[in-house]
Amino acid sequence: MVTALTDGLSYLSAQSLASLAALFWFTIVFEVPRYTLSFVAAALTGGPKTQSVGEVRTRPRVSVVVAGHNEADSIEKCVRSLLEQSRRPDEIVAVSDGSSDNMPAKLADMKRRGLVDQVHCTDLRAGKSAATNLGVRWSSGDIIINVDCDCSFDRHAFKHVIEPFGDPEIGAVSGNILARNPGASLVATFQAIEYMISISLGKQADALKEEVVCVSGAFGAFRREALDGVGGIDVGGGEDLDLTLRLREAGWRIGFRPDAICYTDVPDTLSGFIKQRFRWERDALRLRYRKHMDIMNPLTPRFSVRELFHELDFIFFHVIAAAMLPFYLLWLFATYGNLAFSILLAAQIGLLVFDGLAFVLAALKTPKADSLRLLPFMPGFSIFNGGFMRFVRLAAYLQEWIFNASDQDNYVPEKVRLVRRW
Amino acid sequence: MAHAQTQQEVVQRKVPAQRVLVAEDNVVTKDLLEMLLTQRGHQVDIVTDGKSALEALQNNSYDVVLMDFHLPELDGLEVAASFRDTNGAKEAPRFVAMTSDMKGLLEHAADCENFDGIMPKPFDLEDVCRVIEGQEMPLSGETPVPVAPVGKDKAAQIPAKSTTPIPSHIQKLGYNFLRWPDDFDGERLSARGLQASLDNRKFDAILVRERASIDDLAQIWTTKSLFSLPVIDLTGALGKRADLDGSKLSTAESDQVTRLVEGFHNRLAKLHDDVLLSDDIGDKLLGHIYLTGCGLKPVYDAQEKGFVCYNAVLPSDVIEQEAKKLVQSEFLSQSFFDRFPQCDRCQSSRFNVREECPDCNSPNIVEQAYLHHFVCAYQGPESDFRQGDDLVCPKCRQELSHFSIDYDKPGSVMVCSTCAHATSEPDVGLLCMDCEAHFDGDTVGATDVFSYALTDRAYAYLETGRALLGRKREAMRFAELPVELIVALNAELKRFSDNNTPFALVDISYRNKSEIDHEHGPRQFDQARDLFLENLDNVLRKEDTIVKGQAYDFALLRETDPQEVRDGLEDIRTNASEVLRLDLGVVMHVYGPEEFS
Repeated sequence: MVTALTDGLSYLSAQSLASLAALFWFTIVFEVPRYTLSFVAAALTGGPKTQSVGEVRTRPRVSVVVAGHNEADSIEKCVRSLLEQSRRPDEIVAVSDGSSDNMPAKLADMKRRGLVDQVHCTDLRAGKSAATNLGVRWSSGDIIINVDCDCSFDRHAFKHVIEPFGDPEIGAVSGNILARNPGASLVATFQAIEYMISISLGKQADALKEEVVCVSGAFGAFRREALDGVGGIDVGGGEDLDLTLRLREAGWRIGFRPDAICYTDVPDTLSGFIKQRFRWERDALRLRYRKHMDIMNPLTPRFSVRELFHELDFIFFHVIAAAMLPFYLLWLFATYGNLAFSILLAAQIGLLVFDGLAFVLAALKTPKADSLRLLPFMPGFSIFNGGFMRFVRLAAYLQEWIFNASDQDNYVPEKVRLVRRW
Repeated sequence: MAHAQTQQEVVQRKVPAQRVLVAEDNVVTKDLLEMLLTQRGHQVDIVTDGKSALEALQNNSYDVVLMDFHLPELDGLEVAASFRDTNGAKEAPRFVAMTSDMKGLLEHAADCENFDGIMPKPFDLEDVCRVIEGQEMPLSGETPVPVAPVGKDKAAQIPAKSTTPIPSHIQKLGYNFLRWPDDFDGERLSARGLQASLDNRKFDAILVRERASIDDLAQIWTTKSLFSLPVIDLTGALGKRADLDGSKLSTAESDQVTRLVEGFHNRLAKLHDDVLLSDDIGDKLLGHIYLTGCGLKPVYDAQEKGFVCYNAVLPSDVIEQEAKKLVQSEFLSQSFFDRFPQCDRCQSSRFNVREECPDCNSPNIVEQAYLHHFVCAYQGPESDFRQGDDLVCPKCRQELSHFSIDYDKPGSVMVCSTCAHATSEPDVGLLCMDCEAHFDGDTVGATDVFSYALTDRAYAYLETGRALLGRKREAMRFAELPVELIVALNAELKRFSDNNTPFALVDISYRNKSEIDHEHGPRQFDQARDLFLENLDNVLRKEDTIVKGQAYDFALLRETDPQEVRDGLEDIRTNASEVLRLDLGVVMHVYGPEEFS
């Protein structure tokens, strides 16, 4: 092994720049640009608070809509963190979506104690989208903040997330989501790093490019006018991505506030994690290439150059990168035999440098994340994210492409999946 | 209002209060007259001899003078003559002579001129009132004719409150009824009413002939012993409060009256005078429960603030208050009847209970079904979708045509028509119908209503009187003593006030009476009691008096320091009980002159 490694290194050092490029084409094409933009973003924005788009002049009415199914145990904790906000919401609307646990009684009790302002319960589960729409239907705010029951919030999260609405072009603002349980397991730790780099840092870069395409369902704020204009939330899953795409299409700009921090529990088992990612990736594919395909078709009226960029970005860095990786590996081993290990290792070392840089940047941008504790897991994450994750993604894409597997997700009730068009 | 006033004038017939001087030396007659006349609202001065009568006449002015013919010092004739001589005829009060010796009085016909009237003794209380008040009284059943005010046609047209005639099948029973309002004469008690109070055994029931409120009938409870008469309600307005609803009684059912009256009489025979003559409302209530023979039972009554009334012509709150005390003192046992919400502001249980908007408390909330359109995830109340007969999704404009495929109804919502607030959990709110205070369903207070039954202790008390309880906390009540003793006691009190001669009154009660009655029969008890008194008489000195009372017996020890008696009491008791076969459980208390002041 050691000899193979030294052999590899001596081989690599003997190559010219051109032949190195031929060797590491995958890394150069699919990995390097991914980071560059983050670095640029970091360079251009000084700190977490610089993306203040403007002051909100008149105090808008803020409604929080929180919908859940069988969340009797977590709902009070969630609402209490809403009430701890420095900018207290003017109204909290809680929806029990056909819960079969104690949630309706729990909500009624909370209403009596004045913790929530409105409580709405249904007997049959309608899914997160319809339940949230119901809450929005009864809410009265100018700005509607949609949160998940299992999330909790930093004291100033609301203050920050509504600030960008001072800009009349902003239709929605995404909050920043961090893992609450990074120490739960290795998978959870990797996810904590991933959230830090891809959401916290990645979305800052996206915001810079005006390319925030997903106002996360766990914590997002919407201008009522914008939300009503697009008819509210559509059938899930991936309804957050879908809604953002439709808001963008309607001409709204989407903001991101890294300092509006929300914590959520990430899956702490590998199977749980894979299941969740399968769902996300399947939904992304279904929405982008079934429901919103014509955004990329110049012959339809929905075509938009602005949207083309992030679509291409996704196709290239997500779909093609995932699809190419097996071919690259095959080619590498076929051509170089045992030497392929050394080449991959070298590539990974190079990537580690980039990931390390990204990590440091993300840590600087997101002081809230406990980055020092995460640092030792950096190298592991680099392999996990660059290798393993790509296979997961590829499998999900294939499954969705061939089997329409997202139709089996119980995230939405069966009655809805049966009639869902995409 | 005009009608009501007219009615009151007729019923009450306000008699102007008279200033009355009573000159009478007989203690019993004196007390009786004083009680009667003060009850009727008159101002009464009492003197016991002719000389002080004359003095009183000189110093004060009276409307009527009621004078016994035979008086110490100066007799009635002399007083009247002497007064007329000095004052002439002007502004003289009306002199009325009372005498049991009509013959003797009439022999001095000349002197009789000085009197405006003569009343033979024993006198009829009705006559006394008539004479004092100088008017005819509606005494024996003629209904007062309502006098319509002249010139008020409208008021005259309104029929006066109808007095129900006594149905012939009830009249036929031949009972002596005390009638309301006839015999009650407004706020004061009529002479007939008073007679019923003093000797209730001559009456059989109270007949309510006009619609009366509980307050109207308060005299039943404020007047001595009237509570012991069953109340028969001919109007039906008293409901279950009356002992019998006579309004629906058919001829065939008149035996119910008989049963009621006989039941009361039978039990009254066993009721002890301590309770019968008590002024305490708790005692009266106990007595009433005893006489009805069926306990104190609540009945639902929407007219009542507390939603219940009881089988007694008393305000429910008074009953509940007294009953609670009686439960505490173990005279009544309670059993749960029902629980009512209660307004903590006005104690009313009359509430409008309704589902209401949690935000504005308006009950004007309407239930609507939720519709969930599957395809576009729109979910909202049915009215959002309604377009005539069709259901059209407000979000995607698609028509919903097939339940369970296009849409379903996952629940419902209550929408407030007042403030537009929507909720799936309407509050339960209560609005007090008496003071309009508002309460939430889960914060409103509650009150429990019980039915009550007499305990064994109560039965013992009701049948044996206060002897059962001992005298400890009871102050000596003059009125309850035997007349014989009162006379003797009066004399001793006079001696005490004149030359400080002390005396001691011992009252004797028998703790084991009910036990002995039960085990050996009342005859045995009476024999033992008599023997004890005989022994006691031997133990005491000659000049001491022993008076046998009802529940208590008394010994009056002349010229004796009460403290000495207290010290030697145990010896007296032991000596007197020596030869007794039965243990009477003799309890003796000693009272001195200072306790009669």
